[in-house]
Amino acid sequence: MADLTAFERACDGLERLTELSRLEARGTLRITLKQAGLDPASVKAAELGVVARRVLPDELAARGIEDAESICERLRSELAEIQDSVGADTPEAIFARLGGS
Amino acid sequence: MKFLMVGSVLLCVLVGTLVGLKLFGIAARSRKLPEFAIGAGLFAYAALSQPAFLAHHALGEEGSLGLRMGIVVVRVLAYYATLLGLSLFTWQVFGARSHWRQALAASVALAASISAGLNIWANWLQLSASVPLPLHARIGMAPLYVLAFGWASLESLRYYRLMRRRRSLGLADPVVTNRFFVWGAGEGASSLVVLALFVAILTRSEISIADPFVSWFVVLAGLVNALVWWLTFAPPTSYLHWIRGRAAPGATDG
Repeated sequence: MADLTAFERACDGLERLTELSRLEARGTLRITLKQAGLDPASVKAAELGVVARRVLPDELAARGIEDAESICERLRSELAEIQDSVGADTPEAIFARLGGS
Repeated sequence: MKFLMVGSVLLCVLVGTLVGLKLFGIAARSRKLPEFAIGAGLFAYAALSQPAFLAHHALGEEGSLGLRMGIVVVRVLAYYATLLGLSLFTWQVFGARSHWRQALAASVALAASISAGLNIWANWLQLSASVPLPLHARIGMAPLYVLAFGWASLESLRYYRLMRRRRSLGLADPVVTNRFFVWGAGEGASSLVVLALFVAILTRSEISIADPFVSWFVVLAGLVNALVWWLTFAPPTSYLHWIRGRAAPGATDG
């Protein structure tokens, strides 16, 4: 489990908390992240937590999943326990360094 | 016009050199390749190629063959280093593990090496034996600059779109988001300016610094470069406040 990315952990959680298949859970999360302008390969657990609060409930509701808000809340508390590993430099981290902000 | 042109080049030299040194300082602390690559590229362009450009035109037909050839070599190698630095930066920032970006950066480097070698050789023949410069030497690295600037622009503007979406969720800093826009727009403008010069070289039998079109090209390129480098890599506090103010809740999105 330690080697799983935040995205994969979120997919596991969503699959477990809903009746979505693994493929459906991954697809739903990918679409949600795309709407938020995030990349599954580099998204952090904290960012996924915001997406789970602000974007995912509507996506789940659109797929006919009941009690989407409560599912997303449980997913958020699971994501809050994840410690992000230090990954590769992201474009925003590099651009932040370059301008000194 | 001459004063405007020299002023624009000097502004570009000043801003580019200072920003290049600042980026070297950041690279020394972070020990990361992107800041070193873009710092080296900016420094080579501003502190080497532009002074060499001014010296070349100030000398005219005067000066020894060795001095004039030395200036040509410095100018061509500085353009080469700039192209390399910019391509390396774009590849490293927007997809260090991406094979197609790696191949594109390597292709630009290879083509620039060949172009630089041919350019120095053609200039040597012109200065030592009065052989007219062939078309490839007159074009120089212009097409490669159009490509490298255009690539940097598209990557940066694509990322700017992503950052805007993140910003709406509070997941992106407005200053960093704006930095992608300024860099992308500036590189796009540079690409178009160099493209215009490239077309002019292809369609005109002779092109010289006395040509008003070339003079305006130099002025425009100098101003665009200086402004983009300043706002991207060394933005003034007032500009940062303005960006943050625009991004504050209730302000117009930008």
